[in-house]
Amino acid sequence: MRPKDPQDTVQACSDIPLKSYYTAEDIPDSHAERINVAPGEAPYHRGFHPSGYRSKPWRIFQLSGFGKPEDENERIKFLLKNGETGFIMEHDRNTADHCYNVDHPEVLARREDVGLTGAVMQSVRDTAICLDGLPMDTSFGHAGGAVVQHAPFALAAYWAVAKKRGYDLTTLPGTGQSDFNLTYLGCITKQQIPTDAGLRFNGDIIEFCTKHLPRWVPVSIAGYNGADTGLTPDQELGSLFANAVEYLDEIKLRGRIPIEVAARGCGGVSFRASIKIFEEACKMRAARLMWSDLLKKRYDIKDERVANLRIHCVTAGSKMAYQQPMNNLVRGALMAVSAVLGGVQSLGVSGYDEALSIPSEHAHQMSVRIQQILMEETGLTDVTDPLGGSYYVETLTAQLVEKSWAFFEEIQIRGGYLACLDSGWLHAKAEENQHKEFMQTESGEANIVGVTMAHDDSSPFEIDGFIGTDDAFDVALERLKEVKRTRHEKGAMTALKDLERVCRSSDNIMPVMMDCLEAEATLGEVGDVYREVFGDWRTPIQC
Amino acid sequence: MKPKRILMAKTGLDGHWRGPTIVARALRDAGFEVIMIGMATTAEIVAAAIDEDVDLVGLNIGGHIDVALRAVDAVQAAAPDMPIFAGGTIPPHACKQLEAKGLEVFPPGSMLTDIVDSANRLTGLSTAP
Amino acid sequence: MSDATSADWGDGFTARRALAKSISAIESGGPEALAIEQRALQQPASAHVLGITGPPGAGKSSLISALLPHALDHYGAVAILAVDPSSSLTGGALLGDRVRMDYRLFDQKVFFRSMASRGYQGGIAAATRASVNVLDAAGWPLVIIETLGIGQVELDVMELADRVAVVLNPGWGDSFQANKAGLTEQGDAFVLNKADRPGLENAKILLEQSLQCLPAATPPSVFTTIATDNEGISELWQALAKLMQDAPTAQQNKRRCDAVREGAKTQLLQDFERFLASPAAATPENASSEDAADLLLRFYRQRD
Repeated sequence: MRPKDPQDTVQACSDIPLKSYYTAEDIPDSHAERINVAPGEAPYHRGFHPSGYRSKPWRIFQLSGFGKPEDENERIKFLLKNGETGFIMEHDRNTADHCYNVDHPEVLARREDVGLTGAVMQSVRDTAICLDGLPMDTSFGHAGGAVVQHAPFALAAYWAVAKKRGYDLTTLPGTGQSDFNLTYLGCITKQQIPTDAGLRFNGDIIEFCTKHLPRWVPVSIAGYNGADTGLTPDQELGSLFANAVEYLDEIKLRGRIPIEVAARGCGGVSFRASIKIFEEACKMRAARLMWSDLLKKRYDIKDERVANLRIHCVTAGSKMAYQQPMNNLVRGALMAVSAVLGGVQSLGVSGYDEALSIPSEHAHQMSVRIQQILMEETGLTDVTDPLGGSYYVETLTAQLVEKSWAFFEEIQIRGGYLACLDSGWLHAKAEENQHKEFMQTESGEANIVGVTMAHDDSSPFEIDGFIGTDDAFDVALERLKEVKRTRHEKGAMTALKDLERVCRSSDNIMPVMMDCLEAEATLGEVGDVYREVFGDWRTPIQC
Repeated sequence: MKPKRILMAKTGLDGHWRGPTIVARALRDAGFEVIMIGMATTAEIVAAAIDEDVDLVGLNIGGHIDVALRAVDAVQAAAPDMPIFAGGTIPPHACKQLEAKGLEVFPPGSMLTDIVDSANRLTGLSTAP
Repeated sequence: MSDATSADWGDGFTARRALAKSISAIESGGPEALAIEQRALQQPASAHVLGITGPPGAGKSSLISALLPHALDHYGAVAILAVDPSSSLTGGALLGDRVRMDYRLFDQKVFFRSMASRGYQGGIAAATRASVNVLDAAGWPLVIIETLGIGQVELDVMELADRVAVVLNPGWGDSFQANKAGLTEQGDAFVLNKADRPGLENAKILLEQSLQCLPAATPPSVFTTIATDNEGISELWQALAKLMQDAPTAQQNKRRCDAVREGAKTQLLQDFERFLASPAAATPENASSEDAADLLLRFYRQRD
């Protein structure tokens, strides 16, 4: 969007006025000495490793899955064959997000939805099918469990399968997520545990991984889910670190593991890479700087290696248009460019059919191809932090840092990140921004190609939404009955009783969760324990 | 002029609230009373539509179209005179199925003004095409 | 007049829609609304009416949701009228109270109606009283009214309900100091909800002190609840049920008398409008007010 008059103000998404050009004079004093810092030097806005992508390209990491566990398995294998360098398991959201089995009334009422957004995994048997033949020991796996209340189950299922296959958990690579932004801010579940219980789970996972899975990233805060709900880049940054502080303060309070170790565990995060290329690249640079600052100032962590913030990025799903879906290939590529310019470690590109459905096989393949083109053909990987030293980029990075800390402080004043989820303050912020963004499009102030202008579409490709399979529900129901019929019932019941006891205590939930999975307790049974012990979170929004 | 009442429901267990919130806000700002019920089953949608005696039912659809079609059928059976419109991540083939049942459908990228116009038309506040 | 005035409000699905439509007609006002309420008054009053009031965010809806299973056990069926504010600019409203209710309890034994205040002051909607009378006539044994909760004194619900519970939170004293007197005079029971929040003890002391100052012989009780965890709910319900049982029938009578008086007033006003529009209202040029009054009286006598 071009301003009518070149002298008119143009605003960055973070509500920072942009000049028509920048000079050395514009760079804030606070940032002036950072200009001369090289990649690999504190405060790391230029990257943690001097050789950047030359020594380690980003991980091609796509969210994938639908249908039955074997459908998901097939899709993951397809992606790995096509060049993906890690894999993300997606669980069916109807069951997983809510910790329901498929025979729960809320799921029965929507049985056709089952498997549409991920594979149904109600017991360790399902997870084993999904992981069948996948290189768990060498490939970086995301076990799913993006949702806080689902994470202990999903992680324990993944680890139980790994154990059964003979892998040593102490060397198992991979990541969890357990992300509040996803279901307490972005897409809110019908029923989930309150935030304080969620914080306890995450603390338990961090402690458990420290002890048993040192190569595993226990939790990963996803700024993405805040941003795609409406938070601006500065708010995405501010809220992400406010979230990190909740985890670290909790760990510090417990005092059972060194804060440095916990900080490393919290240092795998995800951001949204959206369409404003420079602002998004600056966001990644600002994030590294802020993390290094936070660890030094708030936790007095002197070990520089801890400041290595590993950033996973997903391109903005909400920027993908329904109309003229092929345009989304261009959008996906450009958003990926913003992430790569920002020096991220891992990347997922949304499918071109994102606004219609979950990705088809072809859309998924194209998401990988986009990344391969950027990696192999464009020269984007040749030089570390290629934007470093740009008057504009350095100024905007510094301004973002400042604005983001201000938002972080606003959250602290209101009792912290979780309190702002409970009260709905963050939701109100997101809604305000969404509304503003919609109104700009509505008024013609901002354009979306193919949607508000350039309507003619002569594409020969019919893209009509990917449907997946139609037997996910039936098979899941059958397998649920099967596992309940053939498991060692007494063992499962004892494990679930133990789980309830531990939930009511302050002991770590993860050892007994491993027992539950190994005893073939099912997702819905675990969820019932949660609902009984913790009750429900009261959503602060009205729809 | 008595305000018209619109029920807004989500047929799926998918809690994306960004879209329906924006739409609800636009409808309220256009003078409608918007009753939010969140994620609701077919039976819950019908019960709410009846008790609240709404002039229009708005369905936010995010999952399999059959789930939504079941809700549409149930509302139309319980209150044949009650119009329905729908929005959300609805692929073209599903839009056609909903339109065949007489619904006005707003996939992603729809303009709020068009949605408000539709609400005015469906509740009899305007007769413009 | 439409079928809303004559429709069967009793059991069953069709009746349910008729009942809902009658409430819509009441909300629209005018002669039809009047006729519906007058029809309702032909039945003897028997419903209990419980008002739930308190500032926004206190958790009124959550509390009603938590009380509902107990209320259903006790009364067999429950109707809820939940009032939310209308925008004074556009007349529109977002009515979100249903989202906070536990749908699993919703069946044919629960009638839930969201009402926009439509500019009416006092915490309820203009149509609330008539709606209560209709629900009563239709056989709903308990009607719960959730007021607007704009944080101001909402006295109208006292006129309408047999008993009123005021919902507050720890820390209420800080933000609602100005309303303290008004709020404390409104309730038959006080609930400190979200009792897991800091400041509970202080809030309780503050509240009990204010309640001691009331002229009543025994000040109303204070309950602490965490509605979302079901804590303290059963104790609260037992107390409310007892209060309702002991409620003076005068309140029921008052609700009906108000309705009758209102009906009479509306009837008179309508007649007066008709008079003004009729040739009988043509006054000579130099007529005094007394002359005009004479004309009006003559108009009324002719009517008989």
